[in-house]
Amino acid sequence: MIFKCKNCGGNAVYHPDKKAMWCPHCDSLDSQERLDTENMENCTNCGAPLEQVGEFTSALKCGHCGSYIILKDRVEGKNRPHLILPFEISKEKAIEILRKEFGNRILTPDSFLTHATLESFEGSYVPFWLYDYLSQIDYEGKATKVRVYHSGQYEITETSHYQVVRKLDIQFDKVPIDASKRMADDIMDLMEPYEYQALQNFEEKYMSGFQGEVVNFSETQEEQRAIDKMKKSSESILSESIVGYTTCIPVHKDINMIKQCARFALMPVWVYRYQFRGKEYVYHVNGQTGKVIGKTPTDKRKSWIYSLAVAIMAGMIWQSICWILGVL
Amino acid sequence: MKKFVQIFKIPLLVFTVLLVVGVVCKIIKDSRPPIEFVRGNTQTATDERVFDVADKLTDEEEAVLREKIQAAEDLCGIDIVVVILNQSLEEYAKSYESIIGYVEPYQYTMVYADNFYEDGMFGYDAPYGDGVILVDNWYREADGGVYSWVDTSGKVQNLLRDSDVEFILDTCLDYVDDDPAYAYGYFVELMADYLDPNQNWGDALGGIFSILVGLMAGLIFFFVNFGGKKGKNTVETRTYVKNGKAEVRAQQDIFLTKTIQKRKIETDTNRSSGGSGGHISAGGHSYGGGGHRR
Repeated sequence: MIFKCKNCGGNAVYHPDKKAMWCPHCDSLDSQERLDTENMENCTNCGAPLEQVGEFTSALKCGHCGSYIILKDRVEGKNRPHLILPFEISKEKAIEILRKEFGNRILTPDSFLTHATLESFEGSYVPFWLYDYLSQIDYEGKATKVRVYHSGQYEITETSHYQVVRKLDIQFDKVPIDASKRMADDIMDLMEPYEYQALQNFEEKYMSGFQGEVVNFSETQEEQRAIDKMKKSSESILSESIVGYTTCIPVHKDINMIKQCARFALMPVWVYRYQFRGKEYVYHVNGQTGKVIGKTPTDKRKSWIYSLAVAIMAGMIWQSICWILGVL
Repeated sequence: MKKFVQIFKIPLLVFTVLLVVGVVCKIIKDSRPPIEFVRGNTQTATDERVFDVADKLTDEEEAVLREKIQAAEDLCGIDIVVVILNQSLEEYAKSYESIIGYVEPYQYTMVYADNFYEDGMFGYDAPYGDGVILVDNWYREADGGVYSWVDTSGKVQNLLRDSDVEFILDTCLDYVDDDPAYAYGYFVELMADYLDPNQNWGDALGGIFSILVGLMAGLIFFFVNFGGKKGKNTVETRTYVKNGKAEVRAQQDIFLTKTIQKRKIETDTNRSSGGSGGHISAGGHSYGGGGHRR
């Protein structure tokens, strides 16, 4: 499947800034028409073989003509996402964010974010499972309040004992767990949170201009990760509800997690892969909020030279101040 | 390097200016003649400075201590007297209560130091003038304390704060039980360090410290700029909780009982040093300094 411009026949893509379909060739807005094909092996536009189609690929860029192709079979039936969060940050903005964050750092290599290295900068829709759960907490504990004060030559310790009971219901809404093997779980966890107000019912047009995947595993396979996250939150909320005590020892604690539903959603992520002296640095930018995950690239040789220069300068400044103090 | 100069433009400018001014100051200081003192007091009762009544030092150790004191006196322009006792000073000090008021045990050595300094007419510039006296009494008084005192007189009273005296006493008397010669020698060295007019903060903080400061700055720069991850977990406890709050089905805090424990507060009266804040001796002279209990 491909979205073509009705005016010029170019590949229409979704533009995050304009929040509309846009033709980069004739600058038309919302001039797209959808062309479907069942063929998953060749480009709908130029017919060249699609070599990058992987087991879970649902959208990709043709290596030959550069058109963005959406694989019909991978966005229909059981593969069809329920929801999609369209990109709100354009490629230019994402590059600007990265440049602001890392580009001006003194030890960053000069080739970082240069035109030659930006070819790998791609927007990807990452598949997520969003879980709704009800957490029911039944808690009973023994707590103390300790007051210490002085009376004459004595220190008095007064301990009051309490029975604490809490019964709480916590409704969790769309707890995300990434369903992509390509993306590291810890990185995707750091990408959160997304702002769910912008979630849309899935439409294929939002995928035009980006890479995409179907869920790599079923909703139950990684569900425990979501349950663990929710249990941790439940524990924190429970702790926050027990305040003002010096100690609190649980006598009975039960956190019952009741599943309500799970939905498949696509979330926007910009990915930049930068190679420097044989090492790969990967940067992720949340395609909605602009949150950045990555490690500062450092030129080791530069860092040693600069550190030495700073050391000599600081030592000489200190010694100069001492010499000045010496005549005062 | 262009990027380095661009980022460090201001520090480099400060560095250059300070370096030029610093080098000029160094040249000026090196061209100055060192301060030398001429003894003004010719009425001192004795040339002796070490009075080891308790016999805690050997003759050789006393000789070494005398040499150290002589060198420190020439350098700083002060008299330094060390008196080592092993006798109760209670009766002696109490006999001065009619003049100076009630005397606490920690002041026994103070009264002795005041009188010893005045009887000896010590002072580098004039009798009762610039100098310092240490009285270290090894005798354990009736209250269980072993007391020492340092009197500072004349310019030393102005140059040394009570906290300096406390520090010097604490530092050197730490060694007195194991190695008295070292402890008293160390006392003289510390005094010379504090009172040498040719030394100042600039000299004390330069040299090896400059290398250390440079190394520290280099290391801090390296670790601040090298590596470093961007991206923190910004998911909060309630991020995915509907309406941001839990629904409370039950919440009870039931008072059961109360227990009370009582403990007597113990006070520690063992070892301490303290400054006097200045005092007037029975002879009417003013001293600074402080004492030590062990």
